[in-house]
Amino acid sequence: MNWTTLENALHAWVVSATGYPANRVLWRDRSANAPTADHITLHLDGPLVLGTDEQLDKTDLLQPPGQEIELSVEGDREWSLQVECYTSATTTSSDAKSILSALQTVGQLPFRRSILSAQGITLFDLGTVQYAPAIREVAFQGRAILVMRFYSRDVATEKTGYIAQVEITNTEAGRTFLAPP
Amino acid sequence: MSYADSITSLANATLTVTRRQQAAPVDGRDQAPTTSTFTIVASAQPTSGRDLQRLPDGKISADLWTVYTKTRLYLGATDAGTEGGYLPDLIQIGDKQHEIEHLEHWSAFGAEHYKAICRAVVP
Repeated sequence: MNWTTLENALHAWVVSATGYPANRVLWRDRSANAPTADHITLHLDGPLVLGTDEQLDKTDLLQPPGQEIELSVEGDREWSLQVECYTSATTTSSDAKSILSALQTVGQLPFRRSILSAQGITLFDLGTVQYAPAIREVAFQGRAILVMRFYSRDVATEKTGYIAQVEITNTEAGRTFLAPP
Repeated sequence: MSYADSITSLANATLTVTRRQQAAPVDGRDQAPTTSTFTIVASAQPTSGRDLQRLPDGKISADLWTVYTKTRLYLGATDAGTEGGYLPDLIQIGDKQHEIEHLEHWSAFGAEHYKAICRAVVP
């Protein structure tokens, strides 16, 4: 699993669907200052292994010696993405619940979903927006949370071969060769 | 009677401060801050001594220092203002960096000074 690719796709998808600037959509659990402006935090949880992974092998004799056989394990994974939105507004279409509601709906548009599908990520559960404004300093802050679930496929491979070493003897010259030497 | 030089007179160390300006995040991840360093004349006093904490993954030690200085220190902030976009200053005390987590600005009586409580940075 390429975590950077997975995270980048989810981040780009949230940015695209909410219309928030990329620097206002942040991965949670940071050691930096919390933004005071409206922003979104992301937290990826999982994976859950679905069913039993497949174990496969395929042979390609044209590969270099020792790499003719490719062994692989692959299977489906389920993830959850926790999206939290913090806004200065507590009502209207710019408050936290409205932003996450837009993520649920706009995020399903074909162009937006293509950001996920390009990395093999499938959105299957849009989740429920929970709205819980709270006091920050001297005023209420709009806060909403949404947990969405995704599928992806994880694959691990390694290569091996049937023959570790070949010994060839030239009977006329009486010489022996080893491959690999 | 002026107290203007009292903080300097009570200072017991010259300490190096690292000031950190936040960089814009990329793909939602924080980037290394831009740093600069300068020295301050200060009085550094142990606040709590060193505490050994026994945690499930092993023991870690932590300690707090109180630093008095006439040089302005930053606690950092993301909103507007002089400290906007800065992370808390790091102060080198002994062989470790310490991050400011509490800062007081005392401005009256001619002895303007800052009192900072700093926690050792555990990598």
